[in-house]
Amino acid sequence: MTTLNEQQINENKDSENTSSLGINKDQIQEEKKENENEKQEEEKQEKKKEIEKENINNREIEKENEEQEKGNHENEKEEQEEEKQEEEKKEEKQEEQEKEEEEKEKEKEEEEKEEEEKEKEEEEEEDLSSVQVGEEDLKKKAENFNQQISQFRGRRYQKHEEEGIHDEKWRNHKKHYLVLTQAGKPIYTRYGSDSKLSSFICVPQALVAFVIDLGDEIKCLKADKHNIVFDIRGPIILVCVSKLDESTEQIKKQLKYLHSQIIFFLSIRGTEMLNDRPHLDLRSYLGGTTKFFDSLIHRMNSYDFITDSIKYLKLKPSIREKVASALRETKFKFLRFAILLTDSGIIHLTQTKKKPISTHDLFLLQNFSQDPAFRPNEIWSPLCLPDYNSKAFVHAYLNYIDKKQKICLLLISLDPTGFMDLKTQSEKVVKTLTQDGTLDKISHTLEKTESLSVKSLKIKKLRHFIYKNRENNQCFTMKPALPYTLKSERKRLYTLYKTTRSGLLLDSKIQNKQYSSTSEKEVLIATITDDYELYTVFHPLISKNEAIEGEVQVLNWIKKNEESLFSHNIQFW
Amino acid sequence: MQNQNVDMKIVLLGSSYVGKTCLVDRFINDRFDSSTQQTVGAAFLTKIINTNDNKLVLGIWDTAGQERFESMSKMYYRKANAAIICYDVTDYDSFKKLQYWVDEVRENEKNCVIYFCGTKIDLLEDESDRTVPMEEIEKYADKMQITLFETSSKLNKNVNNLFLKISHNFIKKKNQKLNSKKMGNKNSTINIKNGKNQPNDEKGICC
Amino acid sequence: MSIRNKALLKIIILGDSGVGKTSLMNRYVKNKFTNQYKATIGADFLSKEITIDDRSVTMQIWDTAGQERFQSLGVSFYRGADCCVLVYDTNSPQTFENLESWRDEFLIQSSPQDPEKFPFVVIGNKIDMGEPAVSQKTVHTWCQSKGNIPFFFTSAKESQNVTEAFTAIAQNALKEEKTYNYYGGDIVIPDEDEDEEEEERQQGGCC
Repeated sequence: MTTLNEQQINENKDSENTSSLGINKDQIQEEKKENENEKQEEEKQEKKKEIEKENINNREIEKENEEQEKGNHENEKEEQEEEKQEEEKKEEKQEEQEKEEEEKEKEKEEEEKEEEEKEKEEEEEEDLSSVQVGEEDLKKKAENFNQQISQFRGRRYQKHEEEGIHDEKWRNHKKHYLVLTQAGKPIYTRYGSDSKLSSFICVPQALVAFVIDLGDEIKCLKADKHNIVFDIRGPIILVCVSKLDESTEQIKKQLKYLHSQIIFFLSIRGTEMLNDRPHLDLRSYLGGTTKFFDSLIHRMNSYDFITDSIKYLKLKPSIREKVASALRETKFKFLRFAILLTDSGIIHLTQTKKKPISTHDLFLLQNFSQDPAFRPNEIWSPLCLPDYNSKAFVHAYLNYIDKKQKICLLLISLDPTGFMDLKTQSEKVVKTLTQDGTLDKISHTLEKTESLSVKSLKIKKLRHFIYKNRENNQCFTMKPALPYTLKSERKRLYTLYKTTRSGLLLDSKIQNKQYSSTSEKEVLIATITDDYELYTVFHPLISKNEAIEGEVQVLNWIKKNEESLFSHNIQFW
Repeated sequence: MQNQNVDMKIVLLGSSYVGKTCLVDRFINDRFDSSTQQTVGAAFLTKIINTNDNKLVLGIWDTAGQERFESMSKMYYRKANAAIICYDVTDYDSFKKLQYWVDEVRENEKNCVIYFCGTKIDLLEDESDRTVPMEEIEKYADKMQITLFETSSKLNKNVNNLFLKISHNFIKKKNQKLNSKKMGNKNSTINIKNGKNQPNDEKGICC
Repeated sequence: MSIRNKALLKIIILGDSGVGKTSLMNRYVKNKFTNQYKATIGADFLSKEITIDDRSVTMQIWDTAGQERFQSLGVSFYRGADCCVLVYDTNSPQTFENLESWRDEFLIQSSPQDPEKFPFVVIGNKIDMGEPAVSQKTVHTWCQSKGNIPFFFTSAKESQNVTEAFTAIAQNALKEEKTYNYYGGDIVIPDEDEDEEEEERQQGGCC
């Protein structure tokens, strides 16, 4: 019997030869019998792992210059203070024995804090939207106003435009994305202003050129803790410098999406302009779209991206059916997709049978539609769906149909002149869904979902889970329990999920696999079968039996609620 | 194809960053946000205005000035009743671009009435701050037979005037057509006796 | 200043080793972090932001090594350059004569669309070292013959004329900047037939 331990997962990350083996669920019972022995083994393994962790080091090529420029860990002051406070509390708790009452109290505080923050954010939002500007102390008001807005907007995706390559802060970011042309001109950078970085951005270009000159193509560089991954797509070079524990394949996937984001706005033909005119500054054509790149990167740290699936909103089947029938009614000449979606997941999707939409394109559409600037008005925009047709534009009608501007209707048509018709279709949908109160019900569910937490399942010591339905590429998850309400812990959890999943999927010969990992922070059980993927995370002091039992309970809950979690009948016109 | 609810379609054109979105934002929501970002795609906004007992539903296209949208813009001014071509009074390049838009609209949508709107006049402390002297702009507008407006969305100057004027002109034109039809009918009844068919003659009609 | 008109110019500095290219760069950019990569990958990179005509211009300067082992990288380094600066030592006639081959080499490797019009600038450096060994007339004649290349005499050491030279480089490069028509993906109004076929296929076929 073999179980995958961390070392093997890490080996799998780097080498093509997979030595991992998995067992199917039938053997779980055998494991239960050998409980005690395994516990001892686990403890030994834990010790081993701790030692091994420190020693893991991969060296392929080392560049001294790169090492000079990279620093340590990312620190955001506010969160640091919060984390310190909260970490202290956590430690105190763990020293005693875990008492549920104390946990509950602390959780309440957390929730209150979060709610306060949310309220603050909401308040600010409202403030900004209703400011009236008079002539007298206009300048003052405008300044305050702008400050508020930039603080609010800046809060989410900090660009740190003031940072240049010589700034410690810039070097300390855990992950950098750099997109440039084959001439060395910048297209996009995640942190810092591209003008300030314009001398630095030549370096990856030179590295690429240097290796091509040797008759090869550069894939990645590893230097100390950094993994520097290159992705060359025609005239565009994409680079990621990551200090996180991710595999090259995972980073390449992220770079692929970043490239797709460019195609989304310019189409592949637009990028090919660079072939004839290598001196072109593509930024002038991508004006106004930086925010979409920023938010895409932010979204890559989400459960749907990690599992290559689409998040659906948990909804009563009856409500979903009403939406389905309303969307069916929008059938119109040249209309290819009709989607009703929210930030918490898709409600429903109707499409043509001939060319269904890919997960990849849908992810880009979700990212696009969530922009705050789109909320107040009806939008009509050309865009390119890379999987659907990378050479041509389709046209999107976008409209937030509820009062709170959280539910978005997206209609994708081939006809650039179709706005007015689609506007009419949208009005039909709104009318139908408002008349019988469906829209209100959805709003209500949305509010509940936002506070839906794993704790509500009442499964002992369960902290989080992700379930992916492999048949239709849909996933479901809930808000995690402590400590993953903290941003840093959440990020660490994402990395754990990513690493686990990529390790498990490497060997495609074996259909059913189960993997478990234990660390001082949590116990993770991952199961992959033909039908589903399930990742469950438990308190670290849980016994293996309990964990497996817990996992089964989650599975049962999913099965029981399947109707409302997923949209089984992807509608076709 | 026309949405029957909208009486009049207005489209805003012009280089990026001249302030088209702010102009519409001021007109429709009476607000100004200096951190407004570049428009992606185009937004369609509606507003109902009441002028002289006339209720008018305006459908306004706020387009992206970005170069990559230029080929798309035909879709927006298609069947538009009025086009407001904007330029930034402090930016020469945006002024130069006016001719491009005038040509585009005149070639593709002959019935569309064009207006020029010089934005951001709040940035002018005195006339010398202009990148193009006023006389030159006025001369150019005259030459093109286009009505010129200058506005400040920030200070709410002249914005309402611009849209009201456009609406008035639209109503006037509509009434003229109606009247000329009536007049035309009169003519035709006369002409039927003579066996002639005269087309609508708008020349002698005052309003 | 308008946010939009940001330009980034890729500028290649060529010339024999020892003419003072790096000192010129250091003098102009005032950046401590130079000479990092030249020995390993064949070029150093510097950048400087300046303002020309109300426009924010970033100069991305490529200081390439003259060594032969990096010669084949020329194509990649020179790709997409907006301007090329040819530097010689005023006290060394040989370095001036070599400008001819530097220029040719550059044009071959970068193959610009219009080689006749590609912006070059010539800099004669080290004027602080005494009377130039190459007369101004010689330089002038050569530069004229190559399409009126502007030329400057500088001293990196004494900081003479360096800023002027580089400002002129930027202006020169910007002059040649053309606004190309953007061409992107297809924006077509699809045929009615296309959609009908679609319907037939869906209705007719079973699945």
